[in-house]
Amino acid sequence: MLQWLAENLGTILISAVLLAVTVSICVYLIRQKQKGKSSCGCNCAHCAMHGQCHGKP
Amino acid sequence: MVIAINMMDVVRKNGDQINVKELSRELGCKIVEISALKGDGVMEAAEAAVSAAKSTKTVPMHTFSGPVEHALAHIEEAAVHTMPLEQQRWYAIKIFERDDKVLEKLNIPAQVMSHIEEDIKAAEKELDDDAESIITNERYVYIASIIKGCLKKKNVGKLSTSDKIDRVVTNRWLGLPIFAVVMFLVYYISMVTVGSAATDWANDGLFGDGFHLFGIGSSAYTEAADAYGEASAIVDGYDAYVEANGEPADGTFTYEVEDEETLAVTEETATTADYEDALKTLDEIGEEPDPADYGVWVPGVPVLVGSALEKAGAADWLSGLILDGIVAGVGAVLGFVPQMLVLFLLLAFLEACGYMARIAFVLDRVFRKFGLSGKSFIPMLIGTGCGIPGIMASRTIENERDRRMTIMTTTFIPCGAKVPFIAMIAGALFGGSAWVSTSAYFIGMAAIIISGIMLKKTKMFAGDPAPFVMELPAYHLPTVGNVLRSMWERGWSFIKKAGTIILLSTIFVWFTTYFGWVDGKFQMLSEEQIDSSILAAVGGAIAWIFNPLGWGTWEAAVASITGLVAKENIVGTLGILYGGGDGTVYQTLASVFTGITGYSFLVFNLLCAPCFAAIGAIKREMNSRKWTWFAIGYQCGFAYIVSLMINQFGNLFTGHVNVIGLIFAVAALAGIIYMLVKPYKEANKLTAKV
Repeated sequence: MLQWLAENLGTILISAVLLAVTVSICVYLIRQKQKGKSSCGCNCAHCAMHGQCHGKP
Repeated sequence: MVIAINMMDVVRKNGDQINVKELSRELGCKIVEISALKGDGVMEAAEAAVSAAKSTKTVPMHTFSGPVEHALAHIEEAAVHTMPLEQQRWYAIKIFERDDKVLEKLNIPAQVMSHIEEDIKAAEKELDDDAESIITNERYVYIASIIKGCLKKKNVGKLSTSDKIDRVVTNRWLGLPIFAVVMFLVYYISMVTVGSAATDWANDGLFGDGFHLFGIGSSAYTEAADAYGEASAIVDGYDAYVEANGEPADGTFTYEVEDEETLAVTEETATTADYEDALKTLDEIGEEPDPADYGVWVPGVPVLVGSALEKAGAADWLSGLILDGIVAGVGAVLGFVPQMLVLFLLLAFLEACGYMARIAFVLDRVFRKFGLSGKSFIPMLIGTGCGIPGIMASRTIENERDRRMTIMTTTFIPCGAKVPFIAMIAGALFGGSAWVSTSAYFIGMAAIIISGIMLKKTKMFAGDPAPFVMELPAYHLPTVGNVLRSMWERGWSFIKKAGTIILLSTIFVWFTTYFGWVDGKFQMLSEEQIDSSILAAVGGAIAWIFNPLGWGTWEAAVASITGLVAKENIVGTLGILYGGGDGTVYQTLASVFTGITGYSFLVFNLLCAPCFAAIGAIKREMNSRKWTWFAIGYQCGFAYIVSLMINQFGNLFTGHVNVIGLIFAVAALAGIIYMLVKPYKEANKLTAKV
């Protein structure tokens, strides 16, 4: 087991980092959605109607 | 109350004078002169507003003529006396104007309404006009009387510079051609000149093999690499010929040359003398040229990430996921950032200087002929950045049918997210021509006009066009800060999206591309086996739908579907499926698509249903599941028909006719022409008494 871990340490660590990044993005997107922000990613601050679709600043 | 008079910088520049003290006395409130563009007086206005809010001083009320005030007093007493005092007058005026929405909201009993109606009719009879016009007219007369005493124009009756420019750019005949030229220049500068150079560097250098720092040594390396490549091809050709035939016949032989852009292999003829020269060249150059020998060589992101993964001893699947999935997919999207920034900068300048407002005015004249109003152009204008605020902006259209139609058609205009795949198709198949991007913009606009004409002739959308009133501010040079801020806001959103939704999508696309069933066993697939992948199975099941459009491959079908998550995904997906991280996306695209099928693919993805976020906005604005599905169905159907016609008629010109496809394309064209020339059922002219 230890030998297998040692052999695949690089893969395990990089996979863990990638997984953390993926989960963080998912959490970020879900929070944005809960805040009423669109997943479009567009910054509509210049639009006079932005208060309508992006409820909170 | 505080009134802020904006654009005072323009007033002063024109030499006009506003008597602020007199205006303040007439209106009974503090007047602050500001220039929002330059930020002058804004804080003073805000402070004045704060102190006015604390003050209990009341503002004198404007009074209408005797008959109107008489009717208003009756209305207040009869219908709105139970409301808060400060709201009573506003509601009374609206009732006097017979405002539909207010009357519907108040739901006044019929008996009371008939009593009110008598008062309104009496005022109308006395002033010889309809109630709405009476209020409008009296307000304008009041405004004119105030302006007369407070404003002194320097050049009365003379045309200002802005007016002179308007005489040309809003000219009945020149307005639209000038707009076409302006938009071509915008796309030419952003896609071909400045933007293209930067994007080539980003795609080939930053997200490719690497680049020479400051370009030093780049041309010398290219020259050496080309000479080495050609000499190697000649030597390989000679060796192959000699191996097959013993010696070259009459001293000539053929060798194969691969086109770097299209991967097309052509045969060239060489002589034994060329072979001798090639040997000398190879002798002189020695080994294959190393870019690091010609200047400071900075490796690209894939190279750096690849070597880091190798050093860390990452497994093959993980290296594949990161290099062929994330780096290839996200890198393909980020590679277009320079072009996007230049495009956003130019569009922000056109919006801020006042030109785009003129286009709404010019297009109003065109749109009105087809039953739409210039108001429908505003959402389109906003939609060039992102379709969602464009859809939201349709709220300014009062007419429900026009509003629905605008929501359905706004996303036809290429938004920022669609620009990368348009640029990709242009770069891979049309040598990066600016015509491709410009034509995409005008195809979007033509789709809106054609849809407007056709839909207006159906029962669902028939009706009079709404009036369009818009302020045309004088032309002015926008501040650098404002334009740069607008560009950065849009650009940063694009980058943020690439790091979130696009990154997640590339992970999904890579897993479903490189895993599948081979001989009944689920396993990781090699490059040659991806036709057995999960994504290939899903794409293959729907690819036949796109056969008549000329791109019925599972890769193209899948790219269109992933484009529904975010349109940038089309580029990301094609980057994974056709690139695999080795920087050959453009070449593979050029070998898979022809100019016609590529353009058909571009038009379909331009006009079909927008991304899920925009579909959500459509659902919110339509407030109806039925109308949302109708909008999506119409967009996809219209996109399919237009792409079908492009492919089938294009094939007709190139001599690759598919009779059944051509029959359907001709039938679709006939249907569209019939709808365009069919007379309107209802009046298409606005008749309103002012």
